[in-house]
Amino acid sequence: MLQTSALPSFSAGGIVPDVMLLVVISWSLLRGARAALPLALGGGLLLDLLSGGPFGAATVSLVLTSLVMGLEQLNLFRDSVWLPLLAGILATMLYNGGYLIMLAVFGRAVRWLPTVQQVILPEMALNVAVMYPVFWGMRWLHRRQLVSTG
Amino acid sequence: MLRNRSTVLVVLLVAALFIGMALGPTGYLQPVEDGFFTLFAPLQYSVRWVSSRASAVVDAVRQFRTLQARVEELQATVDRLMIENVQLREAEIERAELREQLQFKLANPTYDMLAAEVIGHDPSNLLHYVIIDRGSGDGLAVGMPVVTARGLVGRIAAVYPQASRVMLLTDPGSSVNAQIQRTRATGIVQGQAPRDLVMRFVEQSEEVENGDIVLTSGLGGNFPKRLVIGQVRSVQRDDVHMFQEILVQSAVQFDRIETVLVVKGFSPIDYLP
Repeated sequence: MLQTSALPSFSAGGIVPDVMLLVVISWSLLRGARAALPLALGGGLLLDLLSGGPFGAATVSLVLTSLVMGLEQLNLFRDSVWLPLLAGILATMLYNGGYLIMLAVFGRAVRWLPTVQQVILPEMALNVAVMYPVFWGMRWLHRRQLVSTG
Repeated sequence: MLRNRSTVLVVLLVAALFIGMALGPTGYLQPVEDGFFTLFAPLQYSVRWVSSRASAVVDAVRQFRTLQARVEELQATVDRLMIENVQLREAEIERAELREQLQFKLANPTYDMLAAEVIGHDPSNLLHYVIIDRGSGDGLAVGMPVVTARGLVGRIAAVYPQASRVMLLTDPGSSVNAQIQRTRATGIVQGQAPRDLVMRFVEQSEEVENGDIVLTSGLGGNFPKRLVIGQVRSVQRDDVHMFQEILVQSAVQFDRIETVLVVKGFSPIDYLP
């Protein structure tokens, strides 16, 4: 609801940050790919239901992005201040790249270079800006859960 | 000794009084008065300034409780007026939109139209769809054109009982048969990333100029004829390609649409979303 109804009011040139993507990859970075899988699947299905794109495109792209972001090697840098920045850039490229491939597979017209230049790069900038508060919020939740479960 | 001094002072002052009384009406006292005021006016001003400030402070302290209540009262008034102001602005925007829609309806009496509010946008930046608050329960069906008073918005791509999904003209999957109003040259307007409209398949021999109005042609039966799509913004013409590429500027702000009109009385022919 936040993604589809509230954020468009604050869009920059029609581009809005992808909060669902940021929540999923934050969880993936903090808990690993396996723990984030239900969130990626659930979030992806919700996005597919709300989107006019081919059903499954968002879910597949989100799950794949979440799997990459949940790699153990990345988790080693969990406390680095640069991690949200790099994760935001990488995840935006992976998710939108995957989504564009899915669109092309389903027969939609895709103009690769203009889309990357005029849609994905501005979204990347917004995602990186929003990634920090989202990641810190998810880290707070993660630590709280760890404390409560002992 | 002291008594003698004070007596002398009194005598001198009484003498001064009489001299003053005698000289006052004649004007001889003027230099003395001038000197006096030259010396004492700045001092007077300073004393007055300090005393007025002090008096204000005393008053403020005295009225502190009253002022506090007054500030709270004024703050409440400001808050109420701000809310009223926001509500009035929103009402004004809504009224302007409804007025535009009404004018459009009056100008197009043949169309059976239903107003709808935009309640959501597509979660992906790669696709351009909006969700409206009217669905099959209101008689909407897939393929119905969606317009605003500023021009064509798109068409319904999916309907649900209480809502519908509208594919905007700017979506890369959207294509509309169109024509240039002035020359009647025909082509197809397609959506293009990020939010552009491009008219393609217009032959090189056709004359197209910036500012020409682009309308729906009605060809193919997917849209009614003569709905405004936009204005020609630029024309790309060369000897290599068979067709011109025309950039079209719509008056509709696709990322800020709040209300739309669905043309109910139009059934598209064989529309596949």
